[in-house]
Amino acid sequence: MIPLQQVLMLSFTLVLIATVGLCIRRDALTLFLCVELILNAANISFVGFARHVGNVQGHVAVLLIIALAAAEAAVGLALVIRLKKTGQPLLVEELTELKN
Amino acid sequence: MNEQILFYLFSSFTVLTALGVIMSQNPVGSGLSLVATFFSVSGVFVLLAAPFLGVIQVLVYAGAILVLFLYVMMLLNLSDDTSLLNSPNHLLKCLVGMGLMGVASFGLWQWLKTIEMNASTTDETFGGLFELSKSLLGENMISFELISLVLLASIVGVVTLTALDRHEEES
Repeated sequence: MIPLQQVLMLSFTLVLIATVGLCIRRDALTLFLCVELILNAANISFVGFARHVGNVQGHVAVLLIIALAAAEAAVGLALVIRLKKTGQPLLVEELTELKN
Repeated sequence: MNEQILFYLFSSFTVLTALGVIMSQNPVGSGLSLVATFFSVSGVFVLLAAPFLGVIQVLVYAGAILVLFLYVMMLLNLSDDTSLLNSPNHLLKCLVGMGLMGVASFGLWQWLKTIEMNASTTDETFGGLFELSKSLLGENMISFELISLVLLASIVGVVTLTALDRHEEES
């Protein structure tokens, strides 16, 4: 039986790594991958707690989070494709204006 | 004991590939590292008595969402990001980051020791499809309907964002 502490430590480590990645990367798509990693860390933590409490609600939450990540990925990628058509490099430092 | 060793294996692989995501110079390299991360997270799910979620993670997350990402990355032909290695005091920044992470992890570990550790379920059918679907379509019905609305909104958003493009090109 895997203790809950180790599951939570794994989730915490992933969140830390993904947050550091969110701060140091410049291009928009890699930032998005780091956000997906944070969501996965939350999924691990949900599953760990679901097994600890004995309730299946944690699994339901994970399903909803996966569906939400899919929706968010679709919209984010559409935005990125749209931005690429303007010709500027996809670096977050230079994407400062909402128009164009 | 076997579960413990497998958990260490999968979690270390997860952490290593997550580091590969943030430290890769190429965006495609980050995407591929993230696929490996998702596979090992799926292994962790199976070890934590969630076999259905493990399968769903591989099918939906690694198999659909990340494939979409990789399509877009291949389509856009992004350039490499070498700003990490060329920045000054790179080693110092890495050490400071690791030190902060170590301190935060130590604090969390001290708190986590106070939690009651034993899992309360020994049922073998926990995490199976039947209970999960009974809960999803039973008491979580509203969330289920709302998430389908969210997916619909995202589809409409994507079509709007790309159709505006086509309008401008035609006119």
